[in-house]
Amino acid sequence: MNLKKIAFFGLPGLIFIAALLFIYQLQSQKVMGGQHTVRVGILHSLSGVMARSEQPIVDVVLMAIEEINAKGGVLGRKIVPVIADGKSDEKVFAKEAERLIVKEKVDVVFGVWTSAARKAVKPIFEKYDHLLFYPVQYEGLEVSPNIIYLGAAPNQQIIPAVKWSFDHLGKRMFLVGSDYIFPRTANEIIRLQVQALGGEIVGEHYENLQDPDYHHAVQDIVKAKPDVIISTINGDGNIGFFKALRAAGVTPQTIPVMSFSVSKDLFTPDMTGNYAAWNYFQSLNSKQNSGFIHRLKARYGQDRQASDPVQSAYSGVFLWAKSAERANSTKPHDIQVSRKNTSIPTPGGILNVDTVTNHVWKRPRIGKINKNGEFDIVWEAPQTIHPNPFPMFKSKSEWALFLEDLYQGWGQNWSAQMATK
Amino acid sequence: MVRTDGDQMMIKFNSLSAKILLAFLVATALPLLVSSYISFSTSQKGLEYEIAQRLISVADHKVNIIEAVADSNKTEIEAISKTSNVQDAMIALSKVYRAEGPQSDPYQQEEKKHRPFLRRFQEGFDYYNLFLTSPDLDIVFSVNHESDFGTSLKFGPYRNTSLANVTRASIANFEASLSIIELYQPSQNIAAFAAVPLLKSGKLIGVLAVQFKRKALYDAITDRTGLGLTGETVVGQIIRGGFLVTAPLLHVKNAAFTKTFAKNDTGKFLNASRGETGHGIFKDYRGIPVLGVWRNLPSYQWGMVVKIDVEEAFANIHKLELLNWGILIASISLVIILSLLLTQTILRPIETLNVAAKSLQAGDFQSRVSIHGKDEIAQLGLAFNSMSLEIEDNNRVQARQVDELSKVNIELERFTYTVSHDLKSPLITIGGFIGMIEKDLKKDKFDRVNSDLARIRSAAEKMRQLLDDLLELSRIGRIANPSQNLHQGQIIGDALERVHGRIMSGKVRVDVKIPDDLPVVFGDKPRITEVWQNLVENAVKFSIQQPDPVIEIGARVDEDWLECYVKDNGMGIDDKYLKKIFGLFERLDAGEEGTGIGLALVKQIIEVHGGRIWAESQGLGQGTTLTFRLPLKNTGPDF
Repeated sequence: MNLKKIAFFGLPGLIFIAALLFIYQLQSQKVMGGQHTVRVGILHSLSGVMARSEQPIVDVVLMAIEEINAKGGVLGRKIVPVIADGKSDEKVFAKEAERLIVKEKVDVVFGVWTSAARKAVKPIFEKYDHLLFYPVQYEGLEVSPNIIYLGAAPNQQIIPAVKWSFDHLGKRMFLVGSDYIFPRTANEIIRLQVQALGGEIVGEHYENLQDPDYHHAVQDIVKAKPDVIISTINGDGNIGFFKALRAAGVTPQTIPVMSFSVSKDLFTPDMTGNYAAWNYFQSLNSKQNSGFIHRLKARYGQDRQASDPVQSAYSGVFLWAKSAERANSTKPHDIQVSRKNTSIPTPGGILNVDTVTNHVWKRPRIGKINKNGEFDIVWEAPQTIHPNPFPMFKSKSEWALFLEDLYQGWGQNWSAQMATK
Repeated sequence: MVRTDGDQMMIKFNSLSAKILLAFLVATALPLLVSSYISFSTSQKGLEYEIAQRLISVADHKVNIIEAVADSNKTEIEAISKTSNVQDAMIALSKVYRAEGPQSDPYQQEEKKHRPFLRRFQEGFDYYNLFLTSPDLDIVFSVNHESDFGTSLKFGPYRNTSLANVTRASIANFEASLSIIELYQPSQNIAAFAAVPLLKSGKLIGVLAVQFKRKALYDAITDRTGLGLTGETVVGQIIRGGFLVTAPLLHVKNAAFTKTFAKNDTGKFLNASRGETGHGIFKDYRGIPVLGVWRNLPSYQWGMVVKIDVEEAFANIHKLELLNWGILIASISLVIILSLLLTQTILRPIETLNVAAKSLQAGDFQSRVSIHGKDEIAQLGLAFNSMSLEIEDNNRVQARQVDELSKVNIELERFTYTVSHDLKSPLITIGGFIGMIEKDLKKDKFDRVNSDLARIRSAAEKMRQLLDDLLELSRIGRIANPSQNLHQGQIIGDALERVHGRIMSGKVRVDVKIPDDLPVVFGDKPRITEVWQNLVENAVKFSIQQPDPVIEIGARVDEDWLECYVKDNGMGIDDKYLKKIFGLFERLDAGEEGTGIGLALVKQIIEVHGGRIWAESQGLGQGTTLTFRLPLKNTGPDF
């Protein structure tokens, strides 16, 4: 072939190929939506009293994002995480949530632990019709179209665990918790439940979340001699509480503790022999779970534990990704629609979001803390439980009044504020 | 198409037609193929997407309905549980049951009191059965007294039934709960239950449970709205070793709770049961490809597959595909046919030209092509034809010239020979006599010298005559006299004058038959006179041996010609010599007088004037006629 020939055949050929590429480009642009990345927010306490509990959540969300990115991202787009620090302060959470939505232009936020923080950010997500995947079990009494509640509602953790404690540990209960919305509400539910079952609440004690001192509580407990202590203490306060208990000579053999917010991250040998109620324990025997644990430990070290919120947060990212694929969009509103009827298999079992309440189906489990800080499962419900954020002891309007009273009582906050010195 | 040597029709890769076909296919068929593939695959993907989306929304709708039914079941029973009638009945029946037992009269009386409105609930909500269970899980009331009535769900034979489980769950979770669906022994049937704890003043007083009718369970599942003729919904749960179908199937009778699929079944049931959400094409339990959507039904812990036969779902795509292929094949056929036709119109004339050119090359100068139309190829044909015509003409001229040249050549050879021979003999004569004179002079004999000298002179004279004639002949064509109108009668007279001596000595009678009105011809007068003179001399020469020699001279007009002849009654000429006599130095008898140049000269002159000359003879002794003709419209000799 001489040059002329090449030009004669080559030029039309090049034009033809260029035309094909152009068509292909048009097509693929349609699929890509013109964007190459999708930004997601991660909002947790990286400092303060909740950091020890929440940092592992940040880690596992990042791991999930990396795993999804490694398989090509969402809708062919790489996920870019934007991390924000809530500083264990509900007001900072609210500010940071707004910043993520407005300034960082994220399509979804994974985050928030305490109910106080969640109550603070809820109006923000509703105002911007945005989307929050909330990974922690909580007190219920809430439904928002803008929040996917990945943790247990009361009927999926607190109520069955109290019933189990009632049947197996004793009918005289002492309630102890951090002084904010979750423990207060949980204990109200427990009180009503124990009352219905014919048991007795022999004492109740709350300590500030930020700087708790549980010596008084333990003194009360020793005095009241309950069959069982029901603990809704959150964060680092658990360490001090169990230390005080042990110091006072209270052991699981004398008065066992049923905790709703302890995990291995907070483990001290003082906790050994007590109970924790969760929907997920690391020891769950499934192929998917062992793969998850293996990846988690490979990434963050052998000491890293998969708690219930860690597992929920991890699975939540995949649920969001699957919903985005189904919606063919990552816009918050499209996900709100498409996550309905979307279920995925997760390390913790089938993740199924209830269409009406935005809460997920859960199977209650109770674990006994062994000397390694791991949980031996001593009971699990025969089947997964439909989420019911509003326990039947009160009507929805009665529960709303209850919450309003708490809010006003704390000076329009969702937690007891530190006394300004 | 090119006709090959073997006369076979075939496409050569290198041939023009193959190139044109290839170009057409590349330029037309390839883009057509590509664009049609793109448009089809795009619309196919679009249609598949639409169809899948439709099925997905049917499946989602079904999940919503099934979950909504579950929800409303719970709401219903919760509402019932809040009525004080039920709470009162619970407390009363519980108390009398515990104290007296279900067979006792107080229980019977108490039951009679509460049964009517409890039955109203059962009938009103279309339940199969309605139970009241004490906090200790004794069934203290049921509308239908089946074998479960009066047993303990904690310790009794039915403690592991779905009724027992849902009753326990409702207390444990303190909420309305739904059971899974399974065979319920006391009813000998598939059953599902809902249970709700009964509270009075914040105290648990028992559990209200209802048993749903089987049909109501399946209505939502078996509803085939939006599923066409072949679509259906398959639900079931994982059991050991596979997947148990829990609702009726379209293609298998009595499948609910009897039909199981193995773990390796391709029907996506396990995916659905594991909680996966998806859709795709797979083979169902009949081994037929289906488009299916799989979903999880959390309320019953079931997997659900909503599917429709691919053949039905994609019927329109199949039609589109057929249409697409049809159009594509038709288009490509059209392209091929068009390119072949075009090739034919271009190539057939070219091939004809090719064949004609080859035969021209082989020497057939009459090779021509027929011309159709006025296009470039027709013009090429015209050019070929005119070229081949020219070649033919040139060739003809050339052949004639070659012929003439070779004749001239032969003549020249003979001329040379004759000249040298004829010139030699006088020289020999001269030489001989000179020798004799020298001998005689040595012997002083002078008597024969004079006669010998006379002979030498005569020989020299003859040589001079010969050279003159030759000079004369060579002049024809080189030296011309101006042409003029010639009156033949006058010219014949001049000619006869010149040969008068010979005629007289030979006693030859000359008859001149010239019409008076004979037209004039344009020509060289001295030459034409020479012609007549030569012809008459010739006739005299050949006729004088006759006892009564006669020469006839005549002329007449024959169309455009003036025809003249000289006829003698001499010895005649044999046929084979008739043409030869016009050759140079051709003498029929070597002993004859003359140089042998005369008739050649005549012929040359006639031909120069555009005429021709020929001899006729009836044979030996029959005399000879020499005839020549000159063109009347002659414009003079063409030198």
